[in-house]
Amino acid sequence: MKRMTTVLLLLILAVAGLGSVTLTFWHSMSDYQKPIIDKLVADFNKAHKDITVRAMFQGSYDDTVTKLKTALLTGKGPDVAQVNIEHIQIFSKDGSLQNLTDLIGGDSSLSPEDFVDSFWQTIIRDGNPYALPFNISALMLYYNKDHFKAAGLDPERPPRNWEELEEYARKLTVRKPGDSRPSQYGLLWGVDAMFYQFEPLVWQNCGEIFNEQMTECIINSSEGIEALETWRRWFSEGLSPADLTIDEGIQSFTMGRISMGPMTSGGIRYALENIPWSLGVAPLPEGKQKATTLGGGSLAIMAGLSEEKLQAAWTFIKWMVSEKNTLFWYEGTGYMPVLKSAMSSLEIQLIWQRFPQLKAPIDSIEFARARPVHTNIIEIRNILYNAVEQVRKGVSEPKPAFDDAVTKVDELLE
Amino acid sequence: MKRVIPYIFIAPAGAIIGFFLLYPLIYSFAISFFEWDLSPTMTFVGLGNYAQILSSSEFWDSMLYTAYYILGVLPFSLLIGFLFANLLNDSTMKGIGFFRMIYFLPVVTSPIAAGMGFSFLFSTELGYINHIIGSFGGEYVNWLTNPDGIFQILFNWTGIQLPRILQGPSVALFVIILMGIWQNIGYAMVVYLAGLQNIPATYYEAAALSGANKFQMLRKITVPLLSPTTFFLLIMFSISSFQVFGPIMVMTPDGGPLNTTSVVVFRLYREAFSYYRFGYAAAMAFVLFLFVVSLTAFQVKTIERTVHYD
Amino acid sequence: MTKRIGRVFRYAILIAGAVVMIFPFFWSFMTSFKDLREILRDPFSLIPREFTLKNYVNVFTKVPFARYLLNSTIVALATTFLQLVTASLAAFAFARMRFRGREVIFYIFLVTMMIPQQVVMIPQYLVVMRLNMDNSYFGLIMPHAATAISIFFLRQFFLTIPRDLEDAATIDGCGPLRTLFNVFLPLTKPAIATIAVFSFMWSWNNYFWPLLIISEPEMRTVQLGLAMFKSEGGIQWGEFMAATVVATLPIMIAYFIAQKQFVKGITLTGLKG
Repeated sequence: MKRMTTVLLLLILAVAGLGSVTLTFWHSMSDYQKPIIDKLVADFNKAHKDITVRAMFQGSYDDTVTKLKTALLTGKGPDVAQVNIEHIQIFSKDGSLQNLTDLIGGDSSLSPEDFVDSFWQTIIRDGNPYALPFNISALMLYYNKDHFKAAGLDPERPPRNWEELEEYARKLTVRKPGDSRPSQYGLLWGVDAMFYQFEPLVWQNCGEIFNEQMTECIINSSEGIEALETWRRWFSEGLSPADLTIDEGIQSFTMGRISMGPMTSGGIRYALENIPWSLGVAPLPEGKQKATTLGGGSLAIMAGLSEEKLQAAWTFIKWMVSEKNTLFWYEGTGYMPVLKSAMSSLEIQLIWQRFPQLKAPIDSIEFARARPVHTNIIEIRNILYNAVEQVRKGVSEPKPAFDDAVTKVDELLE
Repeated sequence: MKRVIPYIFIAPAGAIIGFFLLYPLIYSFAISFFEWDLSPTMTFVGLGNYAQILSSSEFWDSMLYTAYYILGVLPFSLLIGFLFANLLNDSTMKGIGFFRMIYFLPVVTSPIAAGMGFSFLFSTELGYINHIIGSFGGEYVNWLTNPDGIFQILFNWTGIQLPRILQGPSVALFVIILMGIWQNIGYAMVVYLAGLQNIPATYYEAAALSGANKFQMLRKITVPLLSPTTFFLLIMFSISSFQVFGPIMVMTPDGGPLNTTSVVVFRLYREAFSYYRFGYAAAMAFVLFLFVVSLTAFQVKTIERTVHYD
Repeated sequence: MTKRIGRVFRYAILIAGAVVMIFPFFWSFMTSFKDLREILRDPFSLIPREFTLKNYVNVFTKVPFARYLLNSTIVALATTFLQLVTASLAAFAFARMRFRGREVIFYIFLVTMMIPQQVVMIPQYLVVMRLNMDNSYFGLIMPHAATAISIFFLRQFFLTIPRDLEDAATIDGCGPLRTLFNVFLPLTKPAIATIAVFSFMWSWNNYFWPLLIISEPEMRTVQLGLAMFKSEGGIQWGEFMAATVVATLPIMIAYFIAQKQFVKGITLTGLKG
């Protein structure tokens, strides 16, 4: 009798011990995206009685990188983190992120083929997956349909190539006689500190920024320089203002002072909620070829977790990118659903009925490219940005600026 | 037992400062001889970081911008503070307390809050400053994104191109300097005011009797007698100006148009927290540290000689 | 007659100056009552056309701002108190006691005043993390529980206390601690008030340190909370101004209360150098 009780007690304890696992999850989704991610996490916790995830906003992607790095030094990082696809490299090279190969291999419910191919590529480093794509965005052309109508342009027919872009921009620029500044600009293609808005132009002109092995910077090819010259022309001809900060740019756009501009698809819902005019979203106009940039974040599991936590974390990130949830996330923000099945689901058709502007990013996927990555990518981008900014502000000419940048970048690519 | 008492008194402060300031300082110094990106491994580079810094044009640009900032903020904070202290120094005036309180408000404001306020005020499209300019028929200025030196802008109508150093701080840096002055004026004013009130009225009376006018009195009595105050403010403002950071982060988080607001401390932060070059950043910090110490020492040695103590 | 004009002139300049000092506050305050759409539509109205408290509500509901205020208050008060304690003890020793290494140690402390925050931040962080003090009040408070500048400041004041007062206390049988408490501290109230206000203010306005060591939302301080309103999709100016107002108000109140003592304190150091 006594033995039975003991065994029973032990069994109960054992089962109880299998109880709750708590995971910490660091992310960078603020303001309008935060409630959506909080809802997802809450739903997860409700649906999984034995796992509790605590989501903690850490600041911008850059802030999170700093915190992760310092936390890793003392073994006090989170269990799961949202890592910008640009930054995966920084952590995977030190073995700080869990290599997901085995987890995927041992799990029949999920395989790499389920994911949109180009999205899947963004999380592969040295041939291994280190995260699951989660909030992937594409650079899109936002435009003001009301302005189009006022200028006699068809609001359902956005510009399809560089020539049309310039033509439309000219028509959309409104300058009152005697004013030195237009009261309405046709275009805003570049705010301070944003190299990534210039990037796709190089690709569209059939140029490359780096060579395939990422050992050389080749932006100073004739195609790259050509792209820079065209871009500069948009400013010198007064089609786009050259002197706004990121916030000012977004404000001007929202205020209806600018008709067109490239923006991340992750902001579509936010724009729809806060813009007082009719928003159109289109794929970026093509140059010699179509191209746009893929950006955004992924969910990574930190390396070195206990088996129990590892399984719980895996359950969590799988759940976050499952079809139902990736569609929920897509509808709430504009970040694209990551599963092929989501792309061809009935639900997505319904979403497009509700928010037609959300369709354009999906149409862009076929020519969207992930941004090149390197451990020193942050500094490299700053150098390239400085080069184009000097050209834009009239301090340098395209070729010398790029040649100079290439020398500096090549040093960092070692 | 008695001999130990002083050390016991110092112990709490010593422990905190030693453990949280001195030890990290030494640690940082050690790091400055390595390359370290916060990963588990560090690479020894000896004086490599220092060599790179001193030969880096970006570093010297940062020093130039820092110099612009200090030269812009210091004199005006002192002058304007002094001016207002004089204006308020009349016991028959009503509302001294009120004015003093108002002028001191910017001093207690957090750099972040103030930075946001100023970046909104000077915003190109939404800024009130441009609104004022616009209502006078002027053109909107793109304050925080304009890299042109302010002196060069003034000289533009003459067609002369000034040499680099003389072009002056960029318009963006100029805005940050304005904010620095705005925050410092109240502090200088309050200190000067007390100093002024400490000057016996008899000095002025005697001077008036010998036929001195207001300006002469200012030059011969007020300024010399306030020189300890000026000296104190000079040191305080110098040290704080070298360390300006918060407002720059808030108003020009990317380092300003063509990097013209990247003062040394900002560049240091960027090397550490954006590029993960902690060794390099640590070395830069020490170079800056040396400059601050030298400058302070210089001020103490040379200027103190001219300071008038009773 | 000229005196009259002179006075009017003075007032005019003073008032103009006051307007310049106050305007950023006024503007932020007014903006905090405007809806974002109104801000974008009509940015320059001095008085909101549609007065709304929505921004303030959002400030407290979108993020646990009340909790941030509490955290900042606790940290600022504790830091201030500890700074006063450590500074009083140390300053007294430097000003009045003789012991070996007094000058050397003092100058070492002084030197720490000139160190830019960024230099020591990472090692400081590592120290705090290894002691498990991250995400705690402890971690926010302890590194700043003593500062060289408070010690320096207080020491200057202590140096001005006449020796005879001290001697009298000793004759009465006061040990050093008693002398410190009963004689020196009461006589240097302006200095104490000054350190208190500066220390509180510095702690309240500190942004970078909490950013590094706080990752739990519940433990955030007010400046960190302000930063939360900077979203990637454009700044919510109305909410941000509201948050700024809420974040700055306690400092303002503290300042208004301790103003008089505070001003006395600053001015006295200014004179002594």
